[in-house]
Amino acid sequence: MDFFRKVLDIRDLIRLKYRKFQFVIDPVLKFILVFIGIHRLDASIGFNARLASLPVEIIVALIGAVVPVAITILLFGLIAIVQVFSASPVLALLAILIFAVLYCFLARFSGKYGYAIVAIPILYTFNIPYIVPLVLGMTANPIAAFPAACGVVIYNLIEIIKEVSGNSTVKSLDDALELYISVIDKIITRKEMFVAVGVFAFVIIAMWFIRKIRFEYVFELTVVLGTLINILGFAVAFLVFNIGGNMGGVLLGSIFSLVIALIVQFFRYTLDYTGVQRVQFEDDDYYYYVNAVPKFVGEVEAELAKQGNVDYTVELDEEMQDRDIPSSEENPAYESTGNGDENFYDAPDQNVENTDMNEDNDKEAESPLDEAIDEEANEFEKRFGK
Amino acid sequence: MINDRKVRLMTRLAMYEEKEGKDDINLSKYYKRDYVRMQVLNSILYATIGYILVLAMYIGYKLEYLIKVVVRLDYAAMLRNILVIYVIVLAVYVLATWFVSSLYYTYSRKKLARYFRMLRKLRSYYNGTEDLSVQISYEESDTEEEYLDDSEEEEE
Repeated sequence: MDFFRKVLDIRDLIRLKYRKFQFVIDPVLKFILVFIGIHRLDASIGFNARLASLPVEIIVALIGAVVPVAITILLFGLIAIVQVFSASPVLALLAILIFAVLYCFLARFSGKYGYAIVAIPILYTFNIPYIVPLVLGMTANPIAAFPAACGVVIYNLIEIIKEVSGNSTVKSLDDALELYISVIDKIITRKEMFVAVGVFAFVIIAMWFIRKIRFEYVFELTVVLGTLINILGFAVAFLVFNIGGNMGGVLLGSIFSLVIALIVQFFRYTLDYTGVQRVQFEDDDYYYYVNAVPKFVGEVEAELAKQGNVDYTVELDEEMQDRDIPSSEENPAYESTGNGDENFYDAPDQNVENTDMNEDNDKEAESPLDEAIDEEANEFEKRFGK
Repeated sequence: MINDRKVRLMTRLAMYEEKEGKDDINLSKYYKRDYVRMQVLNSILYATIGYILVLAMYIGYKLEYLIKVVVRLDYAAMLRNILVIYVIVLAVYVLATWFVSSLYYTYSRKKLARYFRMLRKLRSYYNGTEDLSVQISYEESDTEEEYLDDSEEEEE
């Protein structure tokens, strides 16, 4: 128990440090991740030596550190196409067509899970692509199977391009057509690709279903079950479709991915609710510039609060968020949609009489300051009357 | 004097509007019917473009064969097959889009319910149904400026 308490304290310390240096940590982390990604991409298909050089990688990583994720994904796509063009314009044209088809049918539904399209190919080079479906299974809805599928297809396309790039000298239209047909043949006969797409989709959807069941430690159990489903899925597919895959690699990669996913789960609400949020608004009298700093209840935090070293401007902590969500016992009209991952703003639909539209439910969210104000107001009324 | 409660409420509203509420608030500007129809139209457009691209890739893949049989090809049957597959792909896509976007809209409205309730509360501050005249400070609680407004009491 002491050990677990110490681990929670370490988590609280990391939260505090992250909060304090968030404006530096976020861009630095993004820079490191984008740099690793572009470096692995160049290692796979770095046909253009100038584009694959270190200064260019650093510049791309610097751009990726400051722009939104969607722009970073676009940047990766452009660099990949330019690299492939250096090997063969026919292959580049094919890559563009396949990217376009993937976008039209799958990738445009990615939303905020678009990072999976780039993360899966990069993690495949480390033999741990299974992290992505596990994390998506923990956090996303079944639609996240689409960007996962795109990531798998893109990785396999890159591998095929690497295989054929040695023979990609095109001197005539016949050569171009032959190259094109050979690549399409390899794509449609690549069973490992279809197996990975199917298994990842199944893992994401199964984890989403399991998450909906209410019981303690549901997220941790979901990750473990997702890993088992992943291993069994690949094992069965290898046997049924007679694929010469490396099952040992799948096993090791899955176990390592499980550990990473559990760490992500441990810090998940930290990542969601640690960052300082700066907002500004105005009313008739004032302009307000507010730093909303999440407040956490942990021993380290409490200790620092006693020492006056914690800054909290607006109360917005995990416990309050859980309290604010009406449970089905308090409000029969409320239908719970999940287990512990309801949004703070989830509320039942529009039956005003018996939903949390009733202001009385706010009483649970009252802070000690509000209670003090009410007490003082009552005292004032007693002294001076209404 | 600044009302702490109102600032807290406005801060929560601003935070929601900037982050997770952005999409939901954009969505709230549409009726469900209009939003779903817009998504279905988008799907039809992208599915058509995607299908044309796949068809072009397939023609390129089978080009050698098509050149050999170009004279004796049954173009009517080929066109019929192309159109039937197109209709099937489109139907699947449109149905899936209609179903998913309807669900998404409903889920978004549920998330917005709380936001609208907070907006209503803020409006009640401005309309005077919430009492803002009392700013209890521990130094000034016995002055006449602190006299309670004799309109409605605070709802809490």
